[in-house]
Amino acid sequence: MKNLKQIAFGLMVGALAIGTSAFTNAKNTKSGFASYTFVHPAHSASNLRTDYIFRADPDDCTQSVNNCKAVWTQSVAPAEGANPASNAVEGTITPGNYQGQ
Amino acid sequence: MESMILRMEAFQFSEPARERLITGIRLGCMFLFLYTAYAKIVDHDRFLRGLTRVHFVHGAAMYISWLVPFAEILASVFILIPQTAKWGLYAFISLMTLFTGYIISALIWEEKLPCHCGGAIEKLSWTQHLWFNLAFILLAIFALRLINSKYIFKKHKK
Repeated sequence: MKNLKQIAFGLMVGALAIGTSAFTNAKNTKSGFASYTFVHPAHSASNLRTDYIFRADPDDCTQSVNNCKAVWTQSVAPAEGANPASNAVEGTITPGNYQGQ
Repeated sequence: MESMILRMEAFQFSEPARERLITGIRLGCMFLFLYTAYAKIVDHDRFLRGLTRVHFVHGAAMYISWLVPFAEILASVFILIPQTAKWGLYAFISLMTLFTGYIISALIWEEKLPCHCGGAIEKLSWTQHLWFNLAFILLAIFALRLINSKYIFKKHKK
């Protein structure tokens, strides 16, 4: 009986895990909003939207106090080299100097 | 006999507290694996793309992309059933150690670090990811020690 209770409780937790995972995925995809990494090739600490450009396969950063990359959340998938959309929301900034172009 | 008594005294928990701790850790581990396995299966293409970008696994990326969520689900089922929970925790520790090894080797050898670990865990940086994995490994080891000490305790009571 005790084992059955434990299994039932475990199944509930399992369902909760799958539900939470589905919720996270749905939030990221179905709403149309997604996060994209934009790079900052100017090697400066300026943090304007137009400083950033989209790179599908971004390079690394070297250590610096400048801004290297930032995650922007927007509804439209950016084209290679495009700035974040005007309604994009900035997320985490990675400091450093961007190594690519 | 002396060592048995010492091992029993190493955990100063009452029996119900010990049971609750073991159950809590088991459920936590199960939650983590089911959460990430579901994300990997639902968004399988993205997970596969991430693996193909890692040089030392890209040859077997297709197999790994199915094997990893399957192993996570299997370990979760083992953890769920009280009779096999111990083996489930061993599987959990083995898989988490493997994932941690993958993170460390990727940190050393890979120029770019793709992580398609599933769900909110992807938001962690690689260092945070490393600590997160280590914390879960330690928790699972702790639960295993509690389970083993319980068996010693029961044996001793008989």
